[in-house]
Amino acid sequence: MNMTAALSVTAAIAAIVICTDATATAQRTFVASYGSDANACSRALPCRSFGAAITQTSPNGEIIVIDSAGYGSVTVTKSVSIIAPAGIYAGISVGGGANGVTVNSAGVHVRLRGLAINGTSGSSGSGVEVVQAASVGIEDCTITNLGQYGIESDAATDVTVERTTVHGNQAGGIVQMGAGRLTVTGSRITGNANTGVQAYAGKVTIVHSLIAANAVHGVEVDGTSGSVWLAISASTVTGHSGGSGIGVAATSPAYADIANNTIAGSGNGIVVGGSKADIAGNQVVYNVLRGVYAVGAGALARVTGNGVFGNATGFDPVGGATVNTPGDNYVRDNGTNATGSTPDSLL
Amino acid sequence: MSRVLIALALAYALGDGAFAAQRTFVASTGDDAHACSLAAPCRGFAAAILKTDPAGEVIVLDSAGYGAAVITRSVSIIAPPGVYAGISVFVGSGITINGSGIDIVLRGLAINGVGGTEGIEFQTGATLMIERCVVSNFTNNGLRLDSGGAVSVADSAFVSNGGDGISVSAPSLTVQIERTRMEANTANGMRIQAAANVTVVDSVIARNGGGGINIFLGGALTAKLAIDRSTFVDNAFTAVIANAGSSAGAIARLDVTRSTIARNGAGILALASAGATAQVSATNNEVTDNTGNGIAANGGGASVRASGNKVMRNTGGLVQQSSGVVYTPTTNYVRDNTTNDGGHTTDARI
Repeated sequence: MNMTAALSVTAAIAAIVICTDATATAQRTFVASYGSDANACSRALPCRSFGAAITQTSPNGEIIVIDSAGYGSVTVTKSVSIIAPAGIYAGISVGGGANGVTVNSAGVHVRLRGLAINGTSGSSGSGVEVVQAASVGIEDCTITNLGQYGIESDAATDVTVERTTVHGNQAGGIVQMGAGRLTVTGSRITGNANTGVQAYAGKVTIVHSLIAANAVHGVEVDGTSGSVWLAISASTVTGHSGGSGIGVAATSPAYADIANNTIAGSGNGIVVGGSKADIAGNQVVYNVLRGVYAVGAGALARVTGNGVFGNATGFDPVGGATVNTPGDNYVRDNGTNATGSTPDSLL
Repeated sequence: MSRVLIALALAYALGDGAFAAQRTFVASTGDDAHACSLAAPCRGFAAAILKTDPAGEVIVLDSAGYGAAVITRSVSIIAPPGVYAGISVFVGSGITINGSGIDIVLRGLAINGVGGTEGIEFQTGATLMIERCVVSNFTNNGLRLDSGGAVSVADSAFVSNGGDGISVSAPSLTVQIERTRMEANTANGMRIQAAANVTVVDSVIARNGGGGINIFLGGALTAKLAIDRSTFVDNAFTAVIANAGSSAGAIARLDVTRSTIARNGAGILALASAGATAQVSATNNEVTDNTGNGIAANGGGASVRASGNKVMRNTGGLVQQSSGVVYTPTTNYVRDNTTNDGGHTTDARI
């Protein structure tokens, strides 16, 4: 191949690449502090904001953050991952009614990794609002100081929250409005001005997480919008002096599996209202009112293998509710250890 | 130009020793014509591996995509925290490991299928260590283990693949999995179809279209699976199965402890015809709100030793079917199932 031919081939390839970039989207795009939204969002010519990058990204593609900066709020209407690696601060500052990230398209799969979403003064939006989607993963994010919720899921979406901090949000930490499936692992839901994790319907799983010092409840599932299930294990729920550590209330059928947690320093430790809960292997300590409070006809708490200490009342069933125990709980040093419980057998 | 090609070919023929390095580098600004040094990095993993000494390291310098690779010698591919190292796979496998006796480390990779078949394929090798990797959206499996050897996986995720999250189909394989997610795969979170020893700790197995983790033996093999402190939720079929099948001499052993198993198609199942053996111990688990049975043994070769479990709001609590046996030392709390006692055999405590 002579040099002229080589050059013309190179030019032809360059022309193809340029045409392709101008008209099509890329599987992987980039943003950087020194980028420009007039660029193609390539590695060499990154964009400056998530909003511009997402329009240049193919469905199922990725937006990668190259260096630390703010990248602006974004509305996501296609399957995409927005990824800031560890060691990079990728901020989204939001004021007024804006959300940090809005996901709004039926059937899409979205992943957010490593973002710091912060509400500025006057914020009245949420950190991440999922209006509709098939699934949304939120990993290694920090979501703070929003005027609304940290994470708000409006429909029947599968939302996974992993290694994420949700702190200081006004309407609450995480809320699930519809019959979705929420999974929270290794996360911290703290200091929100309402309830830490609230589900009005659907299925909730919480593992290895810290839920602390939220202004109302730590975790509440209440079935306002349909049947609701909670499985929480290996977590610490503490310091909800304005409400309950874990509340299970039944507008619709509600079921809870509460195992191997520490539940401390709240008004009530665990409240079971008109629903069914098995409560196993927990430490339920130093709650101002009751350790386990079962309220109303049909409320059934099966308690086994728990340590219940230093509460005003250990087990307290009222209004036709039942606390059943196979006799293996250690309930001591409460003001009143139990106002009533029903012996149960093992198989 | 042809002289350059000849020189390159000669260098190649003389062996990588002529210019391979113990440590090589890739970067977004690199070029595969480079020597893959720190000063002159390469652009893709495939080129860098060829310029790396056996048992050497390929280091990712900055965030970019680095392409699929076939690995035929011992190597570590390392993206440190703070760097996004992507592999987009349009066809075939993301990482293929195919070298007798080789040791491979993959650290910090994001391997994403956009038409690709398998995320990581262990065809032939001795050891494979996977840390901080995310493997997603492949049409078949996230991690496919076709070679014997030792595999460890930590702090990783196998998500939204069209087959199993992890598929174990090789004999003489030891697998340890810690702090890992197997989620929303179309088939199972993990399937073990070979004479392997598998341990799963502190992991989450959720929303798979099939089951959670299962042993499924088609011949006279022995497979062992131990699960501790893990969470199985919202899988469409049974969360944990030891299925020895019907081959005489087949043995499936499962030990599941301190785990939460909720809202799956069913909970824990031992399944074996007479002649095969499915032997399960289930200790201190939460087994709740599963659509089918909580803890069950089905078939003449199936048995479960159940103690300290909380089994509630399933269809059957403890269930013996078709000559299967569920032994209990009377320490399980079994309530609010449609049928609490679907058959059990009382066992002694010491």
